Amino acid sequence: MREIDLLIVGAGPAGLGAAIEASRFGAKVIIVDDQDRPGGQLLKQIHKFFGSKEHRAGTRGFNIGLDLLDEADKLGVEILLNTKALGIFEDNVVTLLVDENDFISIKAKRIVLATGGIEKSLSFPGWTLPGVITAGAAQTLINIERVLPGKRILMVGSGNVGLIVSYQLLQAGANVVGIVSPSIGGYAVHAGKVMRAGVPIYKGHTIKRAIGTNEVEKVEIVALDKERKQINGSEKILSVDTICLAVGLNPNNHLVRMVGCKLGYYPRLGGFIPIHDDNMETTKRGIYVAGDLTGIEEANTALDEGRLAGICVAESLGYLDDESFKKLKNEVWTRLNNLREGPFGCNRAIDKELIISQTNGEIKNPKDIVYGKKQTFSGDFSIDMLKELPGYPSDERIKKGPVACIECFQEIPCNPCVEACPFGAISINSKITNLPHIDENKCRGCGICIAKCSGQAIFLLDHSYSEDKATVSFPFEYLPYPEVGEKIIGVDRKGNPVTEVEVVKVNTNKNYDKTAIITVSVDKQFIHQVRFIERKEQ
Amino acid sequence: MSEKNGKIICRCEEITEDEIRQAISEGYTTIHSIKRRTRAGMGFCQGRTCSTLIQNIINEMTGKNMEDILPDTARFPVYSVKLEDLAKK
Repeated sequence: MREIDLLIVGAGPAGLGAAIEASRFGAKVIIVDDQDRPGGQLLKQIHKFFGSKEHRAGTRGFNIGLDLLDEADKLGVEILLNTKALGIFEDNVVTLLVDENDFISIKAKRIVLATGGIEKSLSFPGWTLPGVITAGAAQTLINIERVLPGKRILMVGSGNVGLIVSYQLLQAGANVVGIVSPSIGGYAVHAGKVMRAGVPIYKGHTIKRAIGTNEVEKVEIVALDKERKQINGSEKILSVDTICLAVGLNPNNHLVRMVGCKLGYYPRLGGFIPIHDDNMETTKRGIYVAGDLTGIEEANTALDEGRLAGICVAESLGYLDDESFKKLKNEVWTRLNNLREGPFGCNRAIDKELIISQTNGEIKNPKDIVYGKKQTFSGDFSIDMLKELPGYPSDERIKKGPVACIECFQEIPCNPCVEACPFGAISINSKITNLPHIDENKCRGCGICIAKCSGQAIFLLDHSYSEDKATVSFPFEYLPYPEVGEKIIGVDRKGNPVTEVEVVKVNTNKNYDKTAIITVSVDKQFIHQVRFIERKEQ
Repeated sequence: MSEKNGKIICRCEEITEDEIRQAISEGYTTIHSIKRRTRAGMGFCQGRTCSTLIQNIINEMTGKNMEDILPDTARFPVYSVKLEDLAKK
């Protein structure tokens, strides 16, 4: 039987992070993955990522994935694809099924389980009709297989997955006819991208049934009252051919259950989670966990948790001295804590602390825990609210000439705008979740930050363009690009038409990594309203 | 199958919500016992889709806390394997 230092199950960000760190210090590592390509969900992520420089924020997810694979390859990590881990037995013997054909067994000194999440479903009448798919499936179809799942799509759920996949479906050429959700759970900047493009978000609504004979033809949606009960008579029928479910994920915990790791129930993290210590080691010695399996979070937290597990495995095998280990571990924990700051991350930080305390046997009384209030975006952009932001320049400054206008109003862990500015005009101070502040005297209106902002929340305003016209520049990631001289309807932040605008510049600088910057001229009075252009029906 | 008034919960074994609710009202109030009573979760995907849906129905009908509605026992092999392949070995 083959023996190895470390066997990792799952070649997504968590698995790759663990492999890279463990092998960097000399451990021999094999990763197995049931898919026919490595990278997990990372290689499907075509949007620019959030986070800090260390997390390569501002870089598109699949590029981060490709670089991780390259790094793992150079370190000599072996990746077995089309390989399912069927079970783990005594002495860490793992049974693998390769290509649905060969059984092999590998004995590993340590195991890292990075099996990710499984998309949840919703059961409603008609949910088994062809045309009802999960958001992850839609993303695989458009971004990997390059097949459009449908032309008219309803998205159910407005967490980040629902919002991002809606945006990517628009980019792929589908028409997203609406997003239904009790409240907008994802980042406002993700919601903003689809709203500008004219997608209605039916807040306080849910899906009632899918209608169709042999496939989805229509969908019935319904409004919810405060107790989330369906309101009779509020039903609406929409004509769709595809219904996409983005209603959360469960940790993929089959292997940890089989092996007998102790579980805890953490609904905010997705369900039953293997409890672990601050080295990511489970209650079964030698078996570590990382990524969505230990709580549904983001790709960058998964990567760092994987790195943490890899470092701890290297140390436990004697590849790392105590001092270096402590330093490295501390660095990862600092990054993880940063990512779990702010209204979107703080409750995950609380739950993670609870999980670790449970492993140490010091179980806290759940009644003593005060969770932060979940922040949800109302769906409205008030100009008065935006003007109060530290990133929104003053009226006096706007009148003087081109200046960046940062419409970032939720404390999310992200700071590429700071690095982007060559003049040091953007700052966020100590905490990565702070809102960006613009030093309006330093800003020269170059617009580089527009393309770098992962949330597409920065615009360039030039009030001095001409006697009666101002210009507004915004990021644009659809094909075809508008043409200079073209007259189009300019729309506001919710996609509502404002006035006719003229395209004066289409900037497709390669450094912007496929985010074009479109500049349109508008009557000066609309400088605070116009933020995008009307998209043509696909 | 859809004539059983049938919103299906377990797609692999085509078990309807009515059948799950019937089992719960008969006293089968765990994922484990419902699986044995109805076959829900016994199919190809091994409950990866339906077990959370069933957990919700148990919670709604019995008032049992979600954390007390445990997932089913996971056994080797955790993925479905063809008998042909097992026999070959």
